[in-house]
Amino acid sequence: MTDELQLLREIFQIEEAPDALTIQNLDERMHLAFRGESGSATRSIGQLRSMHITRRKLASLMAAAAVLIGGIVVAVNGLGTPSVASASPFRLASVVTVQPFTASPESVQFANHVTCPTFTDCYLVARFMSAPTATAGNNVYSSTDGGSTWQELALPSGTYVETALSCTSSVQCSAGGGKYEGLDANGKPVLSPVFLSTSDGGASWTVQPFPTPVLGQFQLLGSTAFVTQLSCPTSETCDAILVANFGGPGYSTAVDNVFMRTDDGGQTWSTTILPGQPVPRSGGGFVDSPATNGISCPSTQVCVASALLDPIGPATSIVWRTEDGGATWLMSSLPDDLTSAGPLSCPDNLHCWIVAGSYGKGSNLQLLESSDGGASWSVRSPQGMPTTINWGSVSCPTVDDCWLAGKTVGANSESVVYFSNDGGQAWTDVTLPTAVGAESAPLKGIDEIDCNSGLTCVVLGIPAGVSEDGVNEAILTNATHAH
Amino acid sequence: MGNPEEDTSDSEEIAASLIDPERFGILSARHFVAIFQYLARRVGRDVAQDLGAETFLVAFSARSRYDLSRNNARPWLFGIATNLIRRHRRSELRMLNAYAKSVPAARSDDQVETLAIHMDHVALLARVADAFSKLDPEQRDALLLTAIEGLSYAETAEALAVPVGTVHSRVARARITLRDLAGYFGQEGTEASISLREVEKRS
Repeated sequence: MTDELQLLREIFQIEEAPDALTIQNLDERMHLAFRGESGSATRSIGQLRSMHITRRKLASLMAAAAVLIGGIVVAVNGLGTPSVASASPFRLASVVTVQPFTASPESVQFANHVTCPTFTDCYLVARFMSAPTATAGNNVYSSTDGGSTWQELALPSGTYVETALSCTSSVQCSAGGGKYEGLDANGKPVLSPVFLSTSDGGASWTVQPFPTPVLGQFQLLGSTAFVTQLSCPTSETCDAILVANFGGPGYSTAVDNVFMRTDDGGQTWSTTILPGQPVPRSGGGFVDSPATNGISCPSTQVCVASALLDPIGPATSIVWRTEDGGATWLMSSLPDDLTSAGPLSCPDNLHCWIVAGSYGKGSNLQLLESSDGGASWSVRSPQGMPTTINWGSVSCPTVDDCWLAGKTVGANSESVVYFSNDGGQAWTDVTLPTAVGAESAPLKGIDEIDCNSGLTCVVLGIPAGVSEDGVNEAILTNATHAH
Repeated sequence: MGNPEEDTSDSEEIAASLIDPERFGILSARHFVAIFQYLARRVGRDVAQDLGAETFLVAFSARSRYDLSRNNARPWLFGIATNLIRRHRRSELRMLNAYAKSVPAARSDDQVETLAIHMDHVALLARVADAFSKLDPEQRDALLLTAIEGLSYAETAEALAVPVGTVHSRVARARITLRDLAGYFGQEGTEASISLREVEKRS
């Protein structure tokens, strides 16, 4: 009888050999790191490699390279089948299906972020898994029936939206994205960060460039800056977090915490680097900066941002806050050795909720609350709740009303949603539909929950099993009058 | 002509790199392909391109803390790569879903009987891939490092910074769960379910 390990080896048998550009990328980055310490010319990794890997072996590895997955594209349609769980306030709105896409194999994307500013108006962003091409784009979709059916929105040519999208009304949305500028000398796409905004529900978009971020004496390397987080308390004010590669005399580092702010709808921007980032090393260079996981700006003056620490590096802050619109930032720390902070939600200037965990354990197992604008945090994991829940998302549209969503840890995971309407004093386990998608099974996890102040929530979840309709995401909502 | 650097251990190169940073490039030359392939299998080629270099930059930054009594740096590098993968959970799950969906085409000259066997096997692979995606991340790490990347249990323990016994139990539980979820062992699957419950009860 076939052994399960043998089957596993069959599944993972494809060997992806690094191509010349990958080696060159490694070469250049290590070269900078070496020079940062030695201050002298160095041999290239390619030269070092040739000492240890014979040309023949490298050639065979290259030949073994195979592309496993072709491109896939999101085809959005209303495949929703009514939930049979009558006790659940949530119902299945639709299944967002990811299907093979043959025209542009490089343009792999999947549903990644959904938000509903009103009961009926929703926006969905599909994320690219590889660099977009000149023709890529149109990865934003809208719904006017609470997520049951979706329409692709046409973006200006050559632009695409990162997952960062923030909507302040049914028709007003802002997004951080990129614009394809052509290929560089190495054949890599050059993408410049842009700010996209619409005031007519996505029928037309304004594209404005982000100014080039500057980090002290260091320069932006290449065209690698892009927006990872966006929070817009008003249609004119947006706070963005960008990641960018910076280099200087002998140094190269990816900085995840470039904060940029506009108060005029994206015409002008101010730039700040969140404090403590990047962390200089004693021998020169940087310890890589933490990756920003979330930002929540309840007003034009207050923002709180969270991050995940690198696996190796000194413990630094993973939560920052500003009370003056981003001009100055203060560090906060979390209790109980929590070293990673995930999504967060701040319903007003004083109150914030965040899910957090310990790096290496891979889970955001704790819920924390701040009632002083993010300066101090207390563990407020709901009483009586199993401790083995990995929280994927928290959404608190008001000080009293909070939703928590995630999945149980372990095989056969189950999705969970908890709700509190008394500021987290008591939590209710919200019943979810038991039959979702083509396989009529419960969701096996929830990645995101987004609730508006009208207390309508939309959930992006993972259907159980692998169904014939492809890699998909289920969208649930508790809006009762939609559809 | 022989290359004297091939006769050195990783720990010697790391020690030397504290004085001559360039020597750390030997580590990249020795291990980059293996690390890249590991990353590509788990999170896809595009993400692996960045994480591959990131693994060695993190290692370079942290080399002063490397335990020089360990001659082979491979487990250490796999451990760093594994930690970096945790930032890309969704990429990994997408990859696993893609594995489960990938159906190798049958050749046109396949006989009907051969084709049937082929399709049965493909379906089985899809179930195992799907089952694998449902494992705990810790179990996936342990199983991949031992079964696919060829690390010993001791090396895997070093990579994941856990006791060897923990690796043993994670691999055992992962294998049982795989059989259970893939449901391809018939009667044995039932036994596996019982075994799994026993394991869960004891842990």
